[in-house]
Amino acid sequence: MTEPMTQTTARLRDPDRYGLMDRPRPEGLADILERVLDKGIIIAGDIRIELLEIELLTIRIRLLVVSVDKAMEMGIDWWKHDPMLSTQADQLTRENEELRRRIEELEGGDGD
Amino acid sequence: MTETGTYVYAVGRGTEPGRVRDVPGLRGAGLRTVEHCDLVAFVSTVDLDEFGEAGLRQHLEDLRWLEEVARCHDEVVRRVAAATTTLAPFRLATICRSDARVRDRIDELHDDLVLALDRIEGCSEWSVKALVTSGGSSDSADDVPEPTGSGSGTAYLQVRRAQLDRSQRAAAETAELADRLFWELAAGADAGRRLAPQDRRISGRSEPMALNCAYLVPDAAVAAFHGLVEDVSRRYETFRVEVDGPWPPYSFATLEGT
Repeated sequence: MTEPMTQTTARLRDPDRYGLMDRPRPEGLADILERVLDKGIIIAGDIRIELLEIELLTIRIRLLVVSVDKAMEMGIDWWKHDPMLSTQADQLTRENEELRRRIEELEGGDGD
Repeated sequence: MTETGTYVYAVGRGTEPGRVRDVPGLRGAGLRTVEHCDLVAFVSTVDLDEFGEAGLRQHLEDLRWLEEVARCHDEVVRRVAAATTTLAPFRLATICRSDARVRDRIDELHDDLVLALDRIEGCSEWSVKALVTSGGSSDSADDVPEPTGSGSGTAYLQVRRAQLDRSQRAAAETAELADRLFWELAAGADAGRRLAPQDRRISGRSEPMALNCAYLVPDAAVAAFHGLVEDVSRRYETFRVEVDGPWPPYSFATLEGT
């Protein structure tokens, strides 16, 4: 089943086909993350991160909430603390829901 | 003594080992190969303080750490892919206790890995994004006058409803167009896969993203695929179509049944 080396060599690709480290590439972090976190061969290694799905989910949510570069520029590091669990985020979520509910009420109530 | 593990970047076949010898792995560890039958795994040694279960759980929460590791993982995959006939990237943070354990896993999954490699052989992944330009239909909701809030409640509601209707209709139209665009381009590729459109704040662009997808394109068909993209982007005036690649075939290197 082993391929003869001559054939292999003949089919080797351009060494620079995917761009190399010494040259900046345009791919954004989001493009890379959505591939290396979500795609590729997924097998169970010995290091099991049962939480992986949950972790990735929260990462994805955080990516939606604030741009990584912006956040870093601003020195924001709140992703280090789980916003889904932290009381402050909980409170903000509750406040948002409350506000949304009130807006709906007001908009609906206006027409009655 | 700290415990170490074997981090697996990718599995491939048809490699010239000399060309990957000086590729730096995570944290500067040298890239090694673990060979089994006709397949080669590309691995490096990692410290389990950092890449063990507890370490990973903690570090995956840290975007700075995640970015560093993700970029390094991608860089290794790209370098190795360029020196390999066919390469299937692994998902980030696939870690075994030893090289021998990597060999065991390859042995167990051998036939599935070969199938995955067969599917991507001689192909690369191309990323296509369709961004809604300002003239696009999704903006037509703005044509409806803003409700003033004064006057009768009924008038207010009517305006508000018209606004919502129009923006919903526009959104549905955009989604349908994106769908059609996806399938038109799929005709020029071996396979296509849709990814979640990126939020404006991540993409760093002002236009909303209507379509984010990846195509598996045979090397011999790349020029034709680009021609197709050009042709299609001329016909879909609502969108600005961006194509980026080649990527190692991340989105298509998958095991059946996973």
